[in-house]
Amino acid sequence: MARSAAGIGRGGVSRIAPSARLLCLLVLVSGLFAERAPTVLALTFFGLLALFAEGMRPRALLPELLPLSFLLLFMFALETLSLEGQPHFVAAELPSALLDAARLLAAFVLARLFYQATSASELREAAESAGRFLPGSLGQDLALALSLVLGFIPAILLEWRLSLEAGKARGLHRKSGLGPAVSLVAAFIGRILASALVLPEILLARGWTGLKRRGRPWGMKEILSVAISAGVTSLGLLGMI
Amino acid sequence: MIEPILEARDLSFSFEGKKPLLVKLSLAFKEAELVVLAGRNGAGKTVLAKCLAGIYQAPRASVLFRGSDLAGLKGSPATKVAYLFQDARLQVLGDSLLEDALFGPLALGMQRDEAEARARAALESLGLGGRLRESPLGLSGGELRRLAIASVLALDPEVLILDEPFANLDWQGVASLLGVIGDLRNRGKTLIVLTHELEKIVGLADRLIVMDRGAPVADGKPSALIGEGLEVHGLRNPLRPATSLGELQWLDPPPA
Repeated sequence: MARSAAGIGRGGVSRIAPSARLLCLLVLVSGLFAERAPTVLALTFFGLLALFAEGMRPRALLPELLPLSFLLLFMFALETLSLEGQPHFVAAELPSALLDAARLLAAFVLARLFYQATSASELREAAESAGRFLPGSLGQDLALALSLVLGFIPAILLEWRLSLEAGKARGLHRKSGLGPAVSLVAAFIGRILASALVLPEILLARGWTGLKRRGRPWGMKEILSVAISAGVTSLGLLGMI
Repeated sequence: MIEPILEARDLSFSFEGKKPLLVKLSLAFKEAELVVLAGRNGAGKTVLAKCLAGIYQAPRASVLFRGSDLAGLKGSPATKVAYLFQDARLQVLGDSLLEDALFGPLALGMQRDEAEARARAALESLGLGGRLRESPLGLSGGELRRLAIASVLALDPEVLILDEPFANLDWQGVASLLGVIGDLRNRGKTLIVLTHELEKIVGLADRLIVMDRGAPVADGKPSALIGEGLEVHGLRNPLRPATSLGELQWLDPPPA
């Protein structure tokens, strides 16, 4: 899944400080499931435009929408099918089912936009800013843990692949039974734990001392973007747009 | 007398409850020196290197950087002495090359613009400038090694310790890495290369230190030490008559 690396996003969203970006996402999504159709459609439309401006190709987005479409279909069926008596379609529920599906799609587009525009280190920066309100260095520690988890997901997948290959090289196959499969999982967990043991050494070698660092300062565009997000959400909830 | 840039003074080290790995070891490294620290597996090279880089906590005042206790200096020791792991993949902390190189400068508390300028410059200098968005998982062994070097260079350390840098590298990879090492040396960096593969680097070294059982057993110019019974310390004499042509080629430039 291609996304922009830090500081090289192409669109306007990646130029906003990560903390403001995160706040905008939270504000917009928090009101989304109570918004009316025009607001939801407008958010989806502008969200998609911004996503493409960030360098996401429409063709690359389609495969990502596939799992979502199953969820939408399930939700749609849940809302419009009645099991009273013979299972039947309830046409009266159609508008609200469509609106809920549109809201879910809008939430996906906004979250995907945030993911596209935000690198792991920027997410850490945003989480650190949000964590300033937590006692002691807890916010900073949580932010580091978050960025490490994001950074290690590909490594964990690679370890799993290597464990599988090691298993196959030793004769493991589908009909080998539960015992060897359990050994394989145990070996995988062992590998992950072994990697985790050297993590403190890696962090020290890479300059981590646990010192506080300042997030990117807010300027006019950050204040404006949060104000616009809050305005759109408020006006939508009040039924004025 | 010129003050050493890095010094181990009566350095002893052991893991809790285990037998000592280093006992009252003293060594000094001069600025802009290329030192090869050689020895068999388990000779204590990595433990010493991690103590010198401040990764393992050595006793007070037993590791000195420009005459001051490394542990007592302000900020991260990695800005003075950088350590590169034997397995370069271990050291990767980002999901793209730029993200990985950014980790250190951001951890030091730099503003994002400055951190990014440093990370980009470091990646450029290692020939990775055009691949900022790529995932480190797709890199070859040699490219990963270069990324690891770029990522610590973004911290602008004065001393770099490379632990078995030639492990798992093909000829081209070794030659490319030797080019990087030569470039770092020209930039005035002090380099300590830990290896048991003398034939790959000793021709470039200013000094050779041989370690065995946690202590230095020989220290001097490579030309004076090569052939002086290195085999007893588990090292193969690089000038030994070769059994095949391939073994002679490591220091030669690769064909264009």
